Amino acid sequence: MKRQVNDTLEAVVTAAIVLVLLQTVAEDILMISNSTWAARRIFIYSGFAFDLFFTLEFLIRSWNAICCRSFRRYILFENGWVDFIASVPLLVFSSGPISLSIMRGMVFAGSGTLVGLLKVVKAVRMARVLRLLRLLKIFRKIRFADSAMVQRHTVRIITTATSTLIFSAMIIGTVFAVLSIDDLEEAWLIGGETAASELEGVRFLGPDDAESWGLSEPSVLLLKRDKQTLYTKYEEGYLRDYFGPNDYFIRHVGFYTVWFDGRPSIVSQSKLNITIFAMSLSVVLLFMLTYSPHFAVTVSDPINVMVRGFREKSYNLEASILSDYRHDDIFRLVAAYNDVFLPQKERSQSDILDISFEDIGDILK
Amino acid sequence: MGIEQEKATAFVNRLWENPSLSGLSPLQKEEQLYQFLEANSAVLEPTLSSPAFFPKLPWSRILVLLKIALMEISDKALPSLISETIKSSMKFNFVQDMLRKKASVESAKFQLEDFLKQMSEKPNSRKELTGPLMGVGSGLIDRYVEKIFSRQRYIGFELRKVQRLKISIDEIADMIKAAMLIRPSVRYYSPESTLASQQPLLIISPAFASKVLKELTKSVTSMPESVLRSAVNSMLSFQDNPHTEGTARLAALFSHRSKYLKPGITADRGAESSDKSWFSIARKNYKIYGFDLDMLVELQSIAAENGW
Repeated sequence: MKRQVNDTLEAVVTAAIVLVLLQTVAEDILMISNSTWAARRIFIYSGFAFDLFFTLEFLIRSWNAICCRSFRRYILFENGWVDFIASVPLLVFSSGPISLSIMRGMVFAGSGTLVGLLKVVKAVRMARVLRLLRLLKIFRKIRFADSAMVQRHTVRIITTATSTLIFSAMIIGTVFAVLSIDDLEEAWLIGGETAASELEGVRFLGPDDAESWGLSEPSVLLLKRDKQTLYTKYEEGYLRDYFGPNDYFIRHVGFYTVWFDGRPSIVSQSKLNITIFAMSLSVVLLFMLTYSPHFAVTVSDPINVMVRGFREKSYNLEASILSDYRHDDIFRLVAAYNDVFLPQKERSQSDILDISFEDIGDILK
Repeated sequence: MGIEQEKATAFVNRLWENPSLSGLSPLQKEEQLYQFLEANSAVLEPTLSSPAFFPKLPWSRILVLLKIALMEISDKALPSLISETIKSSMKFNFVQDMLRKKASVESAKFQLEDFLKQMSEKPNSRKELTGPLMGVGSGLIDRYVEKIFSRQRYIGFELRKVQRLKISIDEIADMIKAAMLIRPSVRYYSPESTLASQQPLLIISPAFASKVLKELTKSVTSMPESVLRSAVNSMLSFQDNPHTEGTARLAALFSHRSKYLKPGITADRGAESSDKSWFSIARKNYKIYGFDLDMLVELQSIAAENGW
């Protein structure tokens, strides 16, 4: 009964892992394809729900491991570190704050530089990459090799490669986001900020001047003075349908309030996320499809054949030697097995038994 | 049949049907179970001497009962196996072509069948029949002979040019099969004193071969002498007797190969095929068994090319 409950819970977690990966990619695709805010909002909230779910999962597993005095084992050898990194930091630094800000209708606003705001947004969104680590958990659940050794080696190498890729991308991405390195997204906002600073001493701006000023800066969405709209890039309905609270920055300059379009930065982040996801998936699949069979053919298969030859009296098949790798240690061992052991075994056996005592255990009962 | 013997038969019947022996011929099964009973006496004795099986009987008596039961089960299957093998796995046209006698085909067939049944009644020659019956029945010889002649290399040259066989390829295959089936006669005609050991008789001397051939020509009169000679000479060492007929050398090789042959067994991943492995190992032990190394090389190559 307990086992059944455990199996059911594990199945739910596995399903959640698959869903969260799909959710992450879908959220980014929606962002890139300029979908409506209503659709994107669902995915942002669902991301938050998943992070909450996985944080709870981590806490329950940790508590269970602590009770069984196997917390170290859980963290180091049973993917506990993936459970932690792909849940708690995301909930605390990424999906949690974003969802809360949306629920409260907060926006990134202030009198600091736009580039500073952009860096905060980038760093927060970069953390979403950690969610891709869940790919490793899915992959671990797939039994793709007969040999436990092949499975373990492949899992180890895939975990190393994929987590290195994801962590490198996240760390390098965060460093680039925090450091002042000029890029197109920053240039886009710096241009807008420079233009906004021109408004600092301007007391009155006529509608024509406001329009020509707005059109000269593609990053400007809206220009207002005392709740009166002087310039708008899009219709109000469009702004309402396609922009969420995190999609724009607000800057107060003198008598004016300027709304800046933050989406190019988010789109760029989404593209990066999808790229990293595709790369991680490719790494996993390539290792599974190329390295795993290679390891089986060059290491575990010859070993398994030799083990049978050593153990079973009637097993006299030679182990294959791949000519390209004949100088490998394993194939030198195979050569000795084929050339020395098997002929010796054949000479020393006058009779070969196929039946063992274990085979007839039931007859004697 | 006494109640003990019935129990023994029931017990051996269950062993006989064991899945680990599936695919083996009756003689292979018999041999396996015979060895199994001998090898596991110490473990079987306490259980089989218990009230559930054979209480009050000494182990030696129990073992005798089991062996009798084993022979009886095997004996039921053996005559039909011999008849079936001779009937469906080989033809005797080579007899007609070699002796130029019309009536000799049928009589050779019946005579060989009778002789095989006679040999199967004597424990030592019965054991030696295992490989030949399996080899002939499994189609192993036909497969290899066909490839031997399509390649036209060493073995083909030995058969056509050295041994000067003028019969067809199929007939050569049948001649090898006949030689294989008659080969256990060396055991059949051996004095009991030389057979005290359970070790198989690997190699005999030419002098002993001549004596066996003399006896054989009296018993199997319908078979060409060259076939009988091949059968007997297949027990000679090729290293010591380099003029041994090609068919004799092949009969020796295929008989040994077939002894533990299990048709339909697929090799594990990472393992060589069954025939290729066997010929490769035999190459390394060729002196012990008196095999022709060049033949082994060619047969291994055929096996490798065809995934056998």
